[in-house]
Amino acid sequence: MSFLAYLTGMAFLIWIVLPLFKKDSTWVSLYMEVDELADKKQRVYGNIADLEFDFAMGRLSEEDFKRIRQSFLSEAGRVIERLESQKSSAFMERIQKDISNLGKKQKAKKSKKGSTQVYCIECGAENLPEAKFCMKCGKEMR
Amino acid sequence: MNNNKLKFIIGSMVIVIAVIVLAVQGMQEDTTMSYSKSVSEVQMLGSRAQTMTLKVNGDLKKGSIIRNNLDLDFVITEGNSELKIHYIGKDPIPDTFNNDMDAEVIVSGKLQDDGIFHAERIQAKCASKYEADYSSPEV
Amino acid sequence: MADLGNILLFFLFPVSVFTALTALAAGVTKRRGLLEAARRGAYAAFAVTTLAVLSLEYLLVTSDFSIEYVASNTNLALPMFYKIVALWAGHNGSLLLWTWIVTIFIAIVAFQNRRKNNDLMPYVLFVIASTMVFFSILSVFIANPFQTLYQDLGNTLQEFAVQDGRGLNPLLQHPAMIIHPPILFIGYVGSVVPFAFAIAALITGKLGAGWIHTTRRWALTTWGFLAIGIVLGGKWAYVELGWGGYWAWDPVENASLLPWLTSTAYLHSVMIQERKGMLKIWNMALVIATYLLSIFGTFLTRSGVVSSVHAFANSGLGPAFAIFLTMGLIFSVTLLLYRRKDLKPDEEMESLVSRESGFLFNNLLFLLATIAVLWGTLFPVISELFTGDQITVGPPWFNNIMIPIGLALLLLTGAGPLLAWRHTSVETLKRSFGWPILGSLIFVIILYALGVRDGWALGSFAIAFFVMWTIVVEFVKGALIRMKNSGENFLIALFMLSRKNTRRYGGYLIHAAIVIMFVGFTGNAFNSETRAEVGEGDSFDLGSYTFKALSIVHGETENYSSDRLDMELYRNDRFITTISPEKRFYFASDQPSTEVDIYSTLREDIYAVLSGMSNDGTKVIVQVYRNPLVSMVWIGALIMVLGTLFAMLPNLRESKGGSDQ
Repeated sequence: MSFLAYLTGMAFLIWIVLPLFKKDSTWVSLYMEVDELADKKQRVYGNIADLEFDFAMGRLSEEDFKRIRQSFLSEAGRVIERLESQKSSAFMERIQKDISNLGKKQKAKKSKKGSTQVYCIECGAENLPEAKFCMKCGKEMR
Repeated sequence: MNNNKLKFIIGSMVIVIAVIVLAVQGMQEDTTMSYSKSVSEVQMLGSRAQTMTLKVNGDLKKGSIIRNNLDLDFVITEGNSELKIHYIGKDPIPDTFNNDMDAEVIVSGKLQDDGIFHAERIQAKCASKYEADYSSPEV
Repeated sequence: MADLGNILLFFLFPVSVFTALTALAAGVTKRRGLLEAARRGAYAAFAVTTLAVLSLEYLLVTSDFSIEYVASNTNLALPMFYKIVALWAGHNGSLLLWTWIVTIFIAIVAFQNRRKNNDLMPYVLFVIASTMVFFSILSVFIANPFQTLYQDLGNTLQEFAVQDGRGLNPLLQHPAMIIHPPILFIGYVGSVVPFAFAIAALITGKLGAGWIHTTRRWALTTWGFLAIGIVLGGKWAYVELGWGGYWAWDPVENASLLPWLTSTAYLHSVMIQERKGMLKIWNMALVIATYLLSIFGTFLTRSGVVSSVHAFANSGLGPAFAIFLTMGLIFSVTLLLYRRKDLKPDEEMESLVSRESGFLFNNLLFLLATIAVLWGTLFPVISELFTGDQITVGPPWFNNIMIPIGLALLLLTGAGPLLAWRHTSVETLKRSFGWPILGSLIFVIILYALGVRDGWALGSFAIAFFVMWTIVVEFVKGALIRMKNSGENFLIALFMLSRKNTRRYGGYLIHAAIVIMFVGFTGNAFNSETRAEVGEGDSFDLGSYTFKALSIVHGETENYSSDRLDMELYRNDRFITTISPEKRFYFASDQPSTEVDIYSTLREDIYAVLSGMSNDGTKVIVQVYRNPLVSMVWIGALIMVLGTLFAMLPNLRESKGGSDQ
């Protein structure tokens, strides 16, 4: 009985420390700028929804509503514009990096097909370049 | 600093000051403040003890509880010092409060001219009961 | 079994240290292997602690009186149910429960985020695991529940078992007390999760909305548990302590209120950050404060720093807690200062009359309330430090400050949602406030005509009426607008409206609950009481009520003996019910206990306590209280639970497209 307990305990311990000895990979951090802009976009959308709700509930005058709504819309425009440019520049950077890595990688893994890997911005998983969604976490590929 | 910020700061200051005033005002009323003392400390205070609300802790003197209708008198001790207590409060007396018990008692109230302490609240502590020490076997 | 439990519990310490270290290393190196190891460490901590808890339960249920904890908190005659819950009746066991909840939470967090938040997770696990290290040290080395009883035989120590235990404290033998500690603990411990994410955001510099989104449900859940825990504590005090009230500004009650105040402030101010990108530092500070105050609350209950009816006896954990708290405080404040430049607000305040300024003042009031309660609770310690006298401030001091603050907050509860974000013009102000204010004025005049004269109470009722009005209008108006647009009938429109924005309407429901509870609190202004010594056949009055003592009954069970007074209760000479307060004497613990009897209606409670026997045993002293509106507090709490649950439902999405996700 106690032998069995020992065995279970040991197996458990091994299971815990096992990942430490695995051949390791690191993950890549998000692009913070993109992240921040995405937050901002989210915020402006939320603000517009709230503004419309407040107006419908009669909490602000039509004049205020129009004025504030206009400022939100232009802000949304600006954020989206910057977000797009950031995204594409981040994407370009990524491709650049991948291309420069290409030589080394092809040497290391000759067999691997489709050598330009794209990485998911959310979880860092490798994906095919034509992928629309990450195959690991399902996030839309940027 | 723009006009808006100023308004905010003024509004906030008004609230903060109001609360501070309430706090200080509350501290002035002696009914809300009670000084924790032991029995012997009360005796050392002398006549000054009568001017403040006290929270006195001591041991209940065994067999000193006298009940008479709704009145309750007892004595608490600390070493050789004793203090006579007369209960004038309205709340029920704690469960642990009876003549057979070793209880540590905290009474809050005021010392009167005649040296009898008029307690408005009684708290009986019986803490040792639950974190009891089992120094000797009971088998 | 005790050995097994002890070994398992002992393992918690190295496992926690392992988890903390691998998590930290994973954060620095960003290696997946390390993070996975930390995650498994978290699961392992949960597993060993669960097994340790089960072993302790086994010992409790089988009444193994060689274990000090079992002997001190249970006895043979105790019902099985109470044997099981004795796990948290004593100090060491409840600390184990605390530790267990930490391990449950770290396991849940590790599992929930196994595929996401890779950047934050190492530090999140590190922070929670560090808390775990601390509590495992306490549980294993300082307050071990598996401690055996032993006797000193001169030069050796010999283990022994007692024949029967001391029994469960009679005060704890009540249903509310059974669920109160776990619920409050979940509330306390839960604060570690938002805290860990906030710290992780500070360390990694990923200070965007990510950590807030991830912890939104956690923050709301723990807030809810804290609230329920506090109310249950009040309910327990009301039913069990027998002094006729539910809240006395006792240090331990205050300790549970403190993190609730800061977390309520956070739930509101976080909305400003979401909408305007302001108050980033402040929100971080609130999350940190909530966590530290939770630890502080645990510390206060167990350290003997201040005396309290709820507290455990002095347990010698004080210094350990003081060190842990200080370290936590220095660590978080340093981090916050280090990142202060990255936490600049994105926008400025635009107008004094706006939703955000409502939130701002709400936060200011919550902050002041927190400081006031903290100051009052610690005043004995502070005054001793500076004057040498230990001075306690009583409930009047707290009431003097907290009633105005509470009413101001209640007023904001009603006024805030009527204000638009950014700017509200005077004209719309008149439109939204006109009727509710007029309505509450009329309400007050009616109350005055009915004979309510207490100023505070009138003010409180007026504000409560105003707030309730605005909340109802929010629901009705929203539903009407939806009806017009969608063609649904009123009830469906109301349902869809609230399901589409559960946070907003769940929040309103909670506001309504708070209003109802405030009505209950205000009832305190009209309390009355009387005391009488009665023999069989005697009667006495309290207001329009008459009590007739029928008989004094002596009874005995195997657990306790009891004396009961049966009284008939009349109101304006009409018989209502019998009311039977009781006094018990528990054999095992050698402890008397008062069982109050309460006749409760929506309007008021009649609360009777048997406070003593005359020396000859033919007469008893009975104390009766008339407490108006107390039921409102419990009803409000119930609605608050429903509101919290509703707010946690995911929003219903309509397939219109163009949603904001």
